[in-house]
Amino acid sequence: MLSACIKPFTPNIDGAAASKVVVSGRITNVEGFQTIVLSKSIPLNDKVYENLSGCSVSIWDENDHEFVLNEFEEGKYHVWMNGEDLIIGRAYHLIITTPEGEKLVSSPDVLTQVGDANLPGFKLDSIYNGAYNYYTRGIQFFVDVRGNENTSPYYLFEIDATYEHHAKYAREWYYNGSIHHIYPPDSSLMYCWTTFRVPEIVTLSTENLSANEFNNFPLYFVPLNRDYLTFGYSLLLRQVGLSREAFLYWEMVRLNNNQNADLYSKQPVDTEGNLKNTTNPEKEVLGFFSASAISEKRLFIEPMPTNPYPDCVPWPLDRLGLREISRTDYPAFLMNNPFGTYFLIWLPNACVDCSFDHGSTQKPEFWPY
Amino acid sequence: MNKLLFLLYFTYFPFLLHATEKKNLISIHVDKIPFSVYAKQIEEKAQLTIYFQENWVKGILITQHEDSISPFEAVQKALTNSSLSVSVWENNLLLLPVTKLINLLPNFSTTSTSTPIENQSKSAQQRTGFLKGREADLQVINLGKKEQTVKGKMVFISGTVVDSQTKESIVGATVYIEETKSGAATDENGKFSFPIQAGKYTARFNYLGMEEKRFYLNIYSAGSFDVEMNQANFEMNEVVIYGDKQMNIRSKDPGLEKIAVKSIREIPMMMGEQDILKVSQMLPGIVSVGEGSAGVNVRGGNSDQNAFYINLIPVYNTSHLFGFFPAFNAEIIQDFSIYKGYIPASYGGRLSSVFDINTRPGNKKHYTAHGGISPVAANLILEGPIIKEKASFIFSGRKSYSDWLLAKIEEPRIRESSAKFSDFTAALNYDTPKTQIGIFGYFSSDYFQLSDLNTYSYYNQGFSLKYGHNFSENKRLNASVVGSMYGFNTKDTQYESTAYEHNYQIADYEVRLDFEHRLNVQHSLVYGATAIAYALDRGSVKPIGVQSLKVATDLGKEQALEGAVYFTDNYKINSRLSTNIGFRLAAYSTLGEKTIYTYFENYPKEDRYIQDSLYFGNGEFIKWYFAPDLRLAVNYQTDKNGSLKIAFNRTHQNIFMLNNSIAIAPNTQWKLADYYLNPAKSNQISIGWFRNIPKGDWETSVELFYKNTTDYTEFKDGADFIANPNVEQSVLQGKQTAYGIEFLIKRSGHKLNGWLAYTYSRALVEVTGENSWETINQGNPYPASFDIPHVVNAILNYQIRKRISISSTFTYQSGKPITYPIATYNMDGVDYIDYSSRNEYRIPDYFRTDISLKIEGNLRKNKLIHSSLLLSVYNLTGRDNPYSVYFDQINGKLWSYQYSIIGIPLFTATWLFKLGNYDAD
Repeated sequence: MLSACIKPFTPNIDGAAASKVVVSGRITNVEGFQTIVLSKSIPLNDKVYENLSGCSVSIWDENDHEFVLNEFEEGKYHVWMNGEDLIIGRAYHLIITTPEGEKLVSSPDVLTQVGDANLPGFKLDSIYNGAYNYYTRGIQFFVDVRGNENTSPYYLFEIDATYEHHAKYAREWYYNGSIHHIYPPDSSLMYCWTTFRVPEIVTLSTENLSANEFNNFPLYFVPLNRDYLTFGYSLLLRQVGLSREAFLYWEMVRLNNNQNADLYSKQPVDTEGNLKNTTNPEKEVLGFFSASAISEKRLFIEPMPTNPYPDCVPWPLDRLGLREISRTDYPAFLMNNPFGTYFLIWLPNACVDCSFDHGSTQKPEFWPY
Repeated sequence: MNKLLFLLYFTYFPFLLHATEKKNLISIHVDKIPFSVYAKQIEEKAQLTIYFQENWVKGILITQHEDSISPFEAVQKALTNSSLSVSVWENNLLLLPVTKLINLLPNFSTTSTSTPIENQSKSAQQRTGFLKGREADLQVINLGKKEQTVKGKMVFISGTVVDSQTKESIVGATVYIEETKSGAATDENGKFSFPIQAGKYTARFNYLGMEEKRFYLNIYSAGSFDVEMNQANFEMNEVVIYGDKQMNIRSKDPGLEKIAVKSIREIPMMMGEQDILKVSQMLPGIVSVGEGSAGVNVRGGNSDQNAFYINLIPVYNTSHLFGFFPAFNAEIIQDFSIYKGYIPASYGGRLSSVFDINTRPGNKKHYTAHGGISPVAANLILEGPIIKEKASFIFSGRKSYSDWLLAKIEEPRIRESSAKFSDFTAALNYDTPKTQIGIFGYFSSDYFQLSDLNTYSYYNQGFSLKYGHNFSENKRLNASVVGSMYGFNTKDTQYESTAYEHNYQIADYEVRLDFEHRLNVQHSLVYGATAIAYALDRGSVKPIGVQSLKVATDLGKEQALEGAVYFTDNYKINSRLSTNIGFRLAAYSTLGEKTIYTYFENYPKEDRYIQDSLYFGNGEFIKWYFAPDLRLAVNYQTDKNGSLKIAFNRTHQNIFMLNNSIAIAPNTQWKLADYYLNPAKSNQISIGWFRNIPKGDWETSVELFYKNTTDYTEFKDGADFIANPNVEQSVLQGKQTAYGIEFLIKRSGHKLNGWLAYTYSRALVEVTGENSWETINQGNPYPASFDIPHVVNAILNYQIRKRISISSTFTYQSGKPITYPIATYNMDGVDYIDYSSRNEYRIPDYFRTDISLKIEGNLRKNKLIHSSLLLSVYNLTGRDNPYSVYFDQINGKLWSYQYSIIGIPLFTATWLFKLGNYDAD
């Protein structure tokens, strides 16, 4: 501790782990499509996920009503359920038969009501990163929960973040062996919006508190060194009411995903879900099928000054001039100058196309301006 | 008292006359008074002076009832059994050690008393011996009464070994009889006792750091004598797993390690704080839980399976500041034994080992002070006599001032933190040959505040009162009363809504009686009884601040009673084979007041499956557990340099730590076995082979062990011990197996000395049950988090010059087990990690080397302060030893990090001082 130090480390993990079936999805109290996604686990940092196609999937309620799901995309299965089929307090379970004929069965989960979501606001804060020894400034969002004895004391918070981001330059001059001029300049790829699911698991239990309430629970931190907050930011909180089993599952997953360097840190824990392979019981099934009520809340943050890492780095061309640009980079956009012509400065895609890396030029409906 | 000059003794010796006139007859009636008091009475009554040296008559108690006796006869009779002779010199009496008289003037001994001086023929033989150039200056000690001599009969010789300077008894000194090649060691009161046939012998007394003492013994019948040993002029810079080489071969206790405290001073230590527990971790089979954690793992046992006693007081938390510093001041420790193989039946209550620390009594001769100053703490020891030669006090205190160090740390959380510790002891000792009384008090406290996030504080305190009495040479009683208390307070203010405070406290009170009884030469018994009362308050969790929604939870109080009787039979079958057989029967029950919940069968133990409750009134027994223990040790001496030892232990444990993190946090609760939680049981068998190589003074040993524990406590994943008073809901009990082999090679008594230890051991846990919630790792065995197969430790000391020594340590350990991420999966656009089965992988290996240089001040006899400087470097190579490895997901990619505690070389200079010259220890 006196000279405690944290540094990156590469563990020697030998051998590829056997691939396991992953079940993702829940049914909610909201009338509509209930979706289940089946996939397989893959070796670490191998980014290509493979969905599991060709399964027969059905949801059963405690009265033995079966709702058969249809595969609408590879590995994605859904079924429309009416409001009268989604009853708080009723237990539901999932049965899957894989193409190999293995049967995967979940234990029943009781559809649990949830209290209203409430986002009281945020504050400027900074967090310290011990591994790299720097502070990150940003804004910290908080959540207040207001439940009662009829709603679940176990919460899972899912966050969808949306932010506006801009390309720095309009498209005006480009080179693809010869120079072309677009006039008036094309600014259609300058304004984008990106929505993503925040990859953090946030759980909360008020089980041991005197009321099913909590004030200012830290929800999510958005750093100022990225362009998230520059042109407006919106956060959608999905507050999910869990059964105790589902909460314990997510709590374990959370503990495993957010390990900290600590003298007294705990070991990773077993995150066994509620699904079993009844054909081959020794084969573990990952994921948890839950029945949960959901309440949602959206918060919008006005644009604020940030200090993002530059995505766009214009590239001054050297002695070779335009010949320096490789054919694979065609069309290569160039920076315009006030004299109605262009500088010998190449603008990489990130400078002229906001959707180049991520995002879409389609403004979301909820965007206030 | 009268001071006799040796000058006088030599000058006037030829003029000594015998008192034959019976003038000045006196009457004397005294019972068991020290000779010095007796002499005063004679001097008063007879108006004469008795010349003698105080230390010759130390421990001699006089009982005399005589009327009309001459002073000469009275004194002569009084000293019948001593090695002193009485002579008349100018109408005064002069006492002289018999031996000196014989050496110089053999014909002197012509008195008509029954003083057991040599008969002429024997002393003639002896003189012949001297003339042949044998050690003419050896003192002869006559023991027993000549007329009681029975040829060939074994008699007991006993006595006490003390430090001539301080008059403190010396624990673990050895007496070795050259002729019989047998010996004994002194016990915790400095007493020794051994059986021997009447005859003439040469005895050798040895103790580390002391000059060897040799005597001729003329043994007629049972008798006792005291030995004073002088400190060696220069402390040997060596680390000794205590024990004379003969003892290594002959000691019946396989797996008994003793560490002489004087010897640890030079070992490089972090921040210059001497740590006897860290030295113990250099021994085979004992492994630290980790840097920054209290506790050790002994022979594949959990860290709560070790008992730590300081003067019989159990210590529940043995370290300061997260294990970086010991909770004991090394300067006051006299004797430190670790039992890890054969655990004598007098100890109970822990499965793996007993760490038994005895502190030293204060200096009985003069007042002295010494201490040390290191970058983190200062310590001071004051000691001195209360009644000269009989009663003494010692006080020690240590206090840290380490906040300035924390302020230098870059991590802001640490920089804004505060850490403090202190410990104090006080002891009073009263010693007479028959009776010893010791009172000891201990207090240690710690405070740690981590920024504004949380605060830990904890304390240990205890007292012990020991009374020892020798009824005769072969019967001894020790009676003790002990009290101990450990408590902590945690404040967590990280989030307003969950801010809380938790207080915890455990207390135990013990009364014990131990008898030692020697039946005959081959056979001795140790038996006794003990009763312990536990009072445990798991405390309440209270919300802090009006914003906190934490529910005030009372985790409950527990009470328990433990009673045990034990019996050990030590039997020497022949000169090669000896056995120790011990039985211990312990009864344990928790007591009300308590409400216990019962759960539906075949359901997890959870609140909602509670079926009913059982109420037990105050003081009502809730559930009894009876634990018959067996302890066995067999020692077979293969030849004079080798022995084979076998030990078997069956042990029980009624108290556990509630801990599911890798390290032991300062707010780890102890918990008593209860209605649901069974006491753990363990069987250990070990076989050791010990061999000395006289050439080069090498000692070697190989020990094998196998240990099997049932009702081993494990905790459910993510168990929270402050939310729920019903611990049974988070605990699972399973099986633990440990086995291993330990090698040790050691050299002592040379300029270059030290040891090398290698241990291979495994510790596996298996928690199975009929239902999924009763299993861990799907019921498959998995390595315990302290399963460390390979450990290599070495200590090397080199005495460069008389006042300069260098010492270094090397430690290598296999990495601790860890559960690694092995795969990822994606659910709803978020990546998750799939982990290996529990503890399937290991973090990188641990390696550390420390070095220190000790420079002593000059060795002049008379000076105000003797000081020494200890320069040490901890983690010399600056290796970043990973304490733990953890993983973080950033933008869906998994990053792994290692967390090291001390990843740089840490240099420390420590100044140690002592009032007086070097020897005034």
